Amino acid sequence: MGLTSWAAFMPGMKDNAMVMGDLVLMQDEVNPS
Amino acid sequence: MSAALDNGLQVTALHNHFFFDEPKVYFMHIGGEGGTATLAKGVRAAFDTVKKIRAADSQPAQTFAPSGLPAKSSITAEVIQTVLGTKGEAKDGMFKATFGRTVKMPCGCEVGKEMGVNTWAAFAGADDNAVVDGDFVVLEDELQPASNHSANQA
Repeated sequence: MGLTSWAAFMPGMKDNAMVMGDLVLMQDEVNPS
Repeated sequence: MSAALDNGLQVTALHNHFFFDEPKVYFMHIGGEGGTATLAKGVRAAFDTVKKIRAADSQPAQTFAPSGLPAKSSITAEVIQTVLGTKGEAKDGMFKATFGRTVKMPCGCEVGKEMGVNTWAAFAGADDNAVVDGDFVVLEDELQPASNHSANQA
């Protein structure tokens, strides 16, 4: 059902690498104070 | 979000996928460029933060505030006006400040405050227990520095 946290890495244009991803979070996990 | 930003990642979106889900689930999109190990550490820091929160309380929290807002608002406008350095609008104990910005559209024409290109913040509640909502109008290269600063001020 797509409730998946993921991070993918590939060679970057300028620097060594590039990361893209998605973190699946509950509301209180988004930005705890 | 702070864990990602503090460790060199960008947060490019934060949104829900479903209507009526309970507890609500959010998808936080991340990106970044740099050394592989540095990026991996950033991702790990974000995962570790989530783990720490769930370990402290297995049930998702229902609210950030320890107590609810008062039914009637009583925000002191002067306090906010001094901090923000601008006049705003006050109504029924609530307060809103708006900052217009002029930007160029693909047509070459300029649009600004009257077309809704506004950074704004609205406050309700009491001076010692208030809620704020708003919008920041930022250009692409301003977004990450602005998010980073806001996350660290929250």
